[in-house]
Amino acid sequence: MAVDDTAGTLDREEESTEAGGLEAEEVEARVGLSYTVTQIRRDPTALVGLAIIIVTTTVAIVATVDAVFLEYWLAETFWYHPLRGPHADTNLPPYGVGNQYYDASRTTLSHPLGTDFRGRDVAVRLFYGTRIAITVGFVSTTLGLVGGTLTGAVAGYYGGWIDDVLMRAVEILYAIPFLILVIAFVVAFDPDRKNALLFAMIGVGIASLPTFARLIRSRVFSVREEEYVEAAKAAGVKDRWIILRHVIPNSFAPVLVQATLQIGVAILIVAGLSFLGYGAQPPTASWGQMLNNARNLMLTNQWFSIFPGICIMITVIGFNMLGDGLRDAADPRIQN
Amino acid sequence: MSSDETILEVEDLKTQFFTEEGVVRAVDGIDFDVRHGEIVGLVGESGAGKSVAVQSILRLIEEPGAIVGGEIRYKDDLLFGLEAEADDPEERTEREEMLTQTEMRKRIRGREIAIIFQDPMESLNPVYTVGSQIEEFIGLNREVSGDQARDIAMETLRDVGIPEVEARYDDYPHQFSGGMRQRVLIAMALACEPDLIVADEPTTALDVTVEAQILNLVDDLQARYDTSLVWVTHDMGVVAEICDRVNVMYLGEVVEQAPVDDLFHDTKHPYTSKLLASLPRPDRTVGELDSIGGVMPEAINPPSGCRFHSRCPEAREVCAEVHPDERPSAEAGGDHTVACFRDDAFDVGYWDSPPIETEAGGGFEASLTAGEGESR
Repeated sequence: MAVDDTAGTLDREEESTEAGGLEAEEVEARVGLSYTVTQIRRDPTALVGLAIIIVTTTVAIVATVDAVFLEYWLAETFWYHPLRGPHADTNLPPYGVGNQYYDASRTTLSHPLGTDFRGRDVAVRLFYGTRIAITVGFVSTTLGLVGGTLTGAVAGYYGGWIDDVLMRAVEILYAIPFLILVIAFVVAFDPDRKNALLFAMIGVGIASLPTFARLIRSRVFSVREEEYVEAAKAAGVKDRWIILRHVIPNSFAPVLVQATLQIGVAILIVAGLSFLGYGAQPPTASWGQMLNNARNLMLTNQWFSIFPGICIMITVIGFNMLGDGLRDAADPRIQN
Repeated sequence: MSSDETILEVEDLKTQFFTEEGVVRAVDGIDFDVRHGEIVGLVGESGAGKSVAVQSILRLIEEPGAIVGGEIRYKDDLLFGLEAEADDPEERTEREEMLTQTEMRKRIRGREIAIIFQDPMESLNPVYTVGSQIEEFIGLNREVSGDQARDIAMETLRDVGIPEVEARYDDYPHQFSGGMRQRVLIAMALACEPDLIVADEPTTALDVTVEAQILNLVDDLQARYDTSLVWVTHDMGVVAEICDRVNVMYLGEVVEQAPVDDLFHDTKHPYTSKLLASLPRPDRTVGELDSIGGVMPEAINPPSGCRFHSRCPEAREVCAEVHPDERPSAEAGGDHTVACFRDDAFDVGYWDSPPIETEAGGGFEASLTAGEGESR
């Protein structure tokens, strides 16, 4: 899936540069970042995606502030503690589904999504699980993006043996199945799984590095032949600086699109890892871990798996919608 | 600094590209020099090796190409020079006083010798504002603070005739027209105050009215900024307009070298004559332009003898057998050098040699049919 996306982006990018011949100036104006942004504004799908991302990110930020700086003061004051919970009733169904289980003193909003097997409120845990998902998505993608961009840009710019060495190394990473690679990474560096989530993020970042490296390398091959790169060399600019200032910014559009899509993939992978026990460790509230807890009750108490599943789905779809929108906007031939 | 001091000296420069089809001798032993304050032209058809020659000066030739011989001197620095190895006279190594790539980058490129590229549409980075790109180069090549760099950039842009500089300083390249962008590129070169600017066909991509403006501008600025220029072009009209001295290149070699007036009024080499004859002239109505027959041969396998003989209307048998080196013309004298046996400086029996049949008469079509014949 991810590979297909990459190839698609590439093809379109290349075609678009070819199409630039006739109306070079107009097309050039259209590949700029500001143009992409205005294009996004007219694309309802991308806007919905952006809205989802903004909402989830805001939730994640609030949750993080509360968890890290306020020690769940907010949660306890206005809701329940996501890790300890009220512990009154366990395995309560969502209010509205199984009202007979709730005693009369409870209001509608007591446990809108029910409680889990330890009597913790599911809605609160979902809210605080957003934090893990978003952090994982951004951190691991940033790692892969920075590492992959630098590797690919250096390889593409210098070519020759530097290219060979770097890209063969990257391809070795590519040849190992994503999930196995990350699990091996977590197990190798964190056998006690004290910081399993951190290593899972780093692992996903490293595993996504090849995609970015290959994507930018193929663009750099054409950008390095541009006359402004020649001009920079002739003016005595250092290679390092040429790569950072001239080559990467002009090769970045497809990478940005891929990064948006990759955030979704990373969230999914780390949720899967948490489900398998290699990600966030209990009692941390994370969606994948909630799924793990729910797996024995899948047939009797479906809501335990449905709600985290919906959260993962919506978030991942949000990033994919924005990514698709960005890709279309980066292609100057698609007119809305 | 006296006005006739030589600042750039290129001797027997050879640049080759090692491709799978064979060795391309893009530049094959050219000599020329540039004196302080003059504009030197480098003229020739596409593929004559002009661009490779100027890139060699800045040592910007990349794999699979390399400078394989000759010497380039700029003021007191040796930009390129080889010497024979002590134990193996065949093996040549770089001379010790030759500048390293790092020294080239820090001391020469941009700072001493700037280059203006052919296509103003492509030579500016589309993601940065025009102003910031000039500032980048100034910051790199002159010891000034950020604010000063901005002032210098503004002033240079004003000098090259950009209107409303304050308003346009933070515009992006695509917001400028071709002529304006070329002015920006000239400003970028001038702003670093180099002593030599190499202009690689800077007006080729522009229409003639804009070209005329740019030429006037360069003429103006050259005096004000006190720089020398190497002007690469295929347009004899441009040469007549701005150059002081001219080198005519054909297939990697300089075939004629002369002050501009001598070149136009006392043309010695048939190639130069043909270049001049192929110019459209407003004062004459002709059915068909007098083009040079055939196309330039591949530089992988240059023709034997005089490289131009295959297309030369004056070619005789001796031209296909002996290679003419460049000598001071016996008839014109002075600074005029030529590599053609028709000049009295050569004594190879040209006038007694029988004429040979060449592509010269056939025009472009003849060469196309000739090409077909070969491929069958």
